[in-house]
Amino acid sequence: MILDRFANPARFLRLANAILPWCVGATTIMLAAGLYLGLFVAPPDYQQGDSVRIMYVHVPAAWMAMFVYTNIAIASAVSLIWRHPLADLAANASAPIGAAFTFLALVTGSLWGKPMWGTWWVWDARLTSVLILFFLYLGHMAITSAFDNPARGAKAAAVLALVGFVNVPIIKFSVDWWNTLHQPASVFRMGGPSIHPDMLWPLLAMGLGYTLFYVVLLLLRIKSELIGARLRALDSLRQDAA
Amino acid sequence: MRFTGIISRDLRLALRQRSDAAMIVLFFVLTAALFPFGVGPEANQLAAIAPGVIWVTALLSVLLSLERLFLADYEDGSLELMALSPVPLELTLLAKVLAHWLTTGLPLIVAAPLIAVLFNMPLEALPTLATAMLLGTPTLSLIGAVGAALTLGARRGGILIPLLVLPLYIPTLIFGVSAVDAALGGFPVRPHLLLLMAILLISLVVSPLAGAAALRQANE
Amino acid sequence: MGSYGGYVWPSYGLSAVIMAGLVIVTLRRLRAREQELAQRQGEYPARRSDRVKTAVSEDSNGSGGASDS
Repeated sequence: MILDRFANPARFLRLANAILPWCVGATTIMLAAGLYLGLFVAPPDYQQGDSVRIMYVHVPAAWMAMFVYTNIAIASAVSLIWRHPLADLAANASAPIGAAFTFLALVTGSLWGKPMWGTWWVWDARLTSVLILFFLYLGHMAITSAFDNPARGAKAAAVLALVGFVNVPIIKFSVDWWNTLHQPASVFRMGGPSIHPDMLWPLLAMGLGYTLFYVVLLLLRIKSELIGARLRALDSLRQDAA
Repeated sequence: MRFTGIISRDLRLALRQRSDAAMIVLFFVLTAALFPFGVGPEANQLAAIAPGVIWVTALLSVLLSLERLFLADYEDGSLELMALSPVPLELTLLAKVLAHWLTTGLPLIVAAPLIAVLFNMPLEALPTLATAMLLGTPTLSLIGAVGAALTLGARRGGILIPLLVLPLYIPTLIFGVSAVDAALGGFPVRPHLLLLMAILLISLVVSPLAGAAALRQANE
Repeated sequence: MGSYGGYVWPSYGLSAVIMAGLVIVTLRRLRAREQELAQRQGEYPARRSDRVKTAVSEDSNGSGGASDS
């Protein structure tokens, strides 16, 4: 099975160290390209003017918010079913990154909303769902660190992540329903798939850049967690010796 | 321990501490009574927010009771015995949830009309409110049980539970309120109630599995 | 940027600050832990510290490092 190949932390570290420089390079290139295309090449929108450029940091952040949560749920399932040693680390290392992206999606959304809607916050279905997702992230991070035994925290967080993941579509559906009941359907919507290529390319470049950025941080954080685990093992060795 | 055994044991324990259930109902009524001070005593406005107030305060009242759901059993070791018994832990958890609902959700449903009257809510919507709460409050107990099980042995478990559980309560809140709103507006209430029932059924599957997994972790 | 600069630049700026912050926090913790591990390895007999070292460095025959976390 493919997972077994990464089960050994030493092998994982070897692999991580090998691909890290490439990932860092690719991240830099993609983000630089995305920024250049988004800020200088892409045209202003005929309705929204230059405020549409917020899209190039907002939409990738929102993508990452969902993507990272999905990854956490997958890692949690792997952790609970196969008791894979790296899965817990991957889930816990992902959570703060995902929370940061979700926060960015919310704040940039708000900064986009102010010139478009005239207010900083609308209880729009998407914004509300992302806000709830942010709370799910915070809960996950809180329970991870709530136990004296980090292993217990990781397992509890894994169960919570799976329960949360089952709930995400239900929350999305219920918020959509609630929103159509309470809100006139005149809120601004993004262009959808009919987006102009000059706007699509910077968006894709930034999306890829954000994804690579996440991969780099994830590898570094897992590495750091592995060393942390060794340090804890050394502590218990010292206690045994004493 | 059999299913009925656990329910009757928990119910007997709860009845012995009748004051707990009474406290929760008191909290429910008291919190709801704060809202007129916040938004003003205007009758129409109070009637408009009544369904939301009833549901939100019901959520908070359920939260109050969650921490103690497994705590006593965890601390005196009964939980380990339950895990060892031939009855599946999932079933044991359902029994505990049922007992929790009988001592928390049911009293809240009984007390809800009082708040509705205080808020000038038209009484035609009361049957819908009761039905919605009958379908919704068991979900609150079920999801809450997962949160309570996950936080056993945690530092600051009591503050942690709301953080974990409240986001998951939002769908129940939305459909619970929209059912009553529909009844007040003369719209069909059936779809709202069916959705509440769907959420209940999903929770009925997910929460015993997740809750039992959490209880096993707590026992390790 | 026209009249929208006041919204566009803060969006990019905040994104940069948060993402840079993530990188800094992550690298700092990694460096601190690497240093602590390097220090600690002096405290133990060679064989044991070798085993610890292999799990973290690039050697191939390290023992399971994260089994306790």
